[in-house]
Amino acid sequence: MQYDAQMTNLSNNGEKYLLLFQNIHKVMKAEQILKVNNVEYQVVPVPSAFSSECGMCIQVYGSLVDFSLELLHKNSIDFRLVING
Amino acid sequence: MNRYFDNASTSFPKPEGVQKRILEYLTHGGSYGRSAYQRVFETSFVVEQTRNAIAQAIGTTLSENIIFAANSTTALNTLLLGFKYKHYRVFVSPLEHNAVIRPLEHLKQKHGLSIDVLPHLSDGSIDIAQLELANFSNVDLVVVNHASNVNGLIQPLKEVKERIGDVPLLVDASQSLGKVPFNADTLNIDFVAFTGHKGLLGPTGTGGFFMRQPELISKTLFGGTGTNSDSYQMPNSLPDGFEPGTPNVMGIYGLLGAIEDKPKQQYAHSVYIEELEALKQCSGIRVLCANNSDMQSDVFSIVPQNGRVSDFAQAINSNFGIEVRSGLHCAPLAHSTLGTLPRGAIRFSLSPYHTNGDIAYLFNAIRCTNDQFK
Repeated sequence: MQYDAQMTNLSNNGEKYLLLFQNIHKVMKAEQILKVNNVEYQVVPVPSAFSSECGMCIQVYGSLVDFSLELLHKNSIDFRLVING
Repeated sequence: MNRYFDNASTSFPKPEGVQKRILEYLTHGGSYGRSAYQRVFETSFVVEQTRNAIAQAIGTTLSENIIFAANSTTALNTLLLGFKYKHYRVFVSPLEHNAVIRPLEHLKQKHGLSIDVLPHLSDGSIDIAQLELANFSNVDLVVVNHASNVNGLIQPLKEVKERIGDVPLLVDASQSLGKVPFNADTLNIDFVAFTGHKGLLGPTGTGGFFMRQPELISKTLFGGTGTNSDSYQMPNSLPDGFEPGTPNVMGIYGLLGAIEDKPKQQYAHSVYIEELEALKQCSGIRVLCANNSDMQSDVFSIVPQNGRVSDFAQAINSNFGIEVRSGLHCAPLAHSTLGTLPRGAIRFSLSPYHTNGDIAYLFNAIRCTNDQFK
């Protein structure tokens, strides 16, 4: 399954976003990429309203979301983006 | 003095890193996936670190295509029983272990699978020249034991893959991974089965497989993966699609510890080969090894002219403290190829921790014991 990301200028709106992945392997891969690029993030449980996929996901903040998405795309990591409202 | 020469059964000693990582798991570890609190995150991180380390050892960038299993045997069962055969025809190398032959025999009885042995020379090495003449049309799969657990012969994977063309190649790397250089991507190897407790020096209960083409394998294990939990179907994603149930997390920690703390080989390979060549000249003994020493791994066997192989193993243990395995080593096809069925052989297998002194002690013990059996 290929996840679609909405890459439409999400920065600076103060929202929190969740990056959802198919499995733990991809969470860890993404986490490492965000870490080495000094992106502020938090690993959090996936709210059941969004997904029944793997137990953990990554929360990033509005000011960094575009950069985060760019990094994940560049590294060919599939994900789904949702607003953690 | 290290007198343990049964590393083809399981490696001993293990690197200190194995203990350290297992202790770390026992004191701090949690589950793999399923939740997101710190303990689970850290544990899952180590599991994925290990998967990446295995991918590196196998020589592939496709780390998500590495699947953990209980051992090489369960990995081979998953691949061989799950393979989507069209013609029910396979070729195997002449030195296969029962971990390959028994699942294939099961398929032979159930579906009439045809099993042919690849053309080979007297030491079981695949005859590349004859391979050119073999007909691989309607062949589903070729299975090759990379390094024999009986005579230690290393098969020429590159040449085999070049000759068989598009036919998928499954390599049983149980006795080679961690010891013999391996590059699955460069050689375009389709499937690899491995164990963690032999050449990689990790704990028992670890192993797995690599699939370049997962679409060729039907799933044979089903259950919870912590992903797609609202579905009654297994997920299609990797690695979770082939990894139901909680993995052997403690063992995987130990395996990572082994890889991180891999020792440099202490003995000189040339010293070992010289001793082996000298042993071949001794009367009253037959040495099972590669005809070409460039194809020799750190495993070899001997067959005394007289007496039972079990008595020889007992004598060398009683008199010299040497720990080895005698018999058929779960490889009747290999012994059939080498002409040592049903008698079997006494097998010796080295560790990177052995020194040149240990090697000299071993070969002296073999010669002295052989003198008693003449």
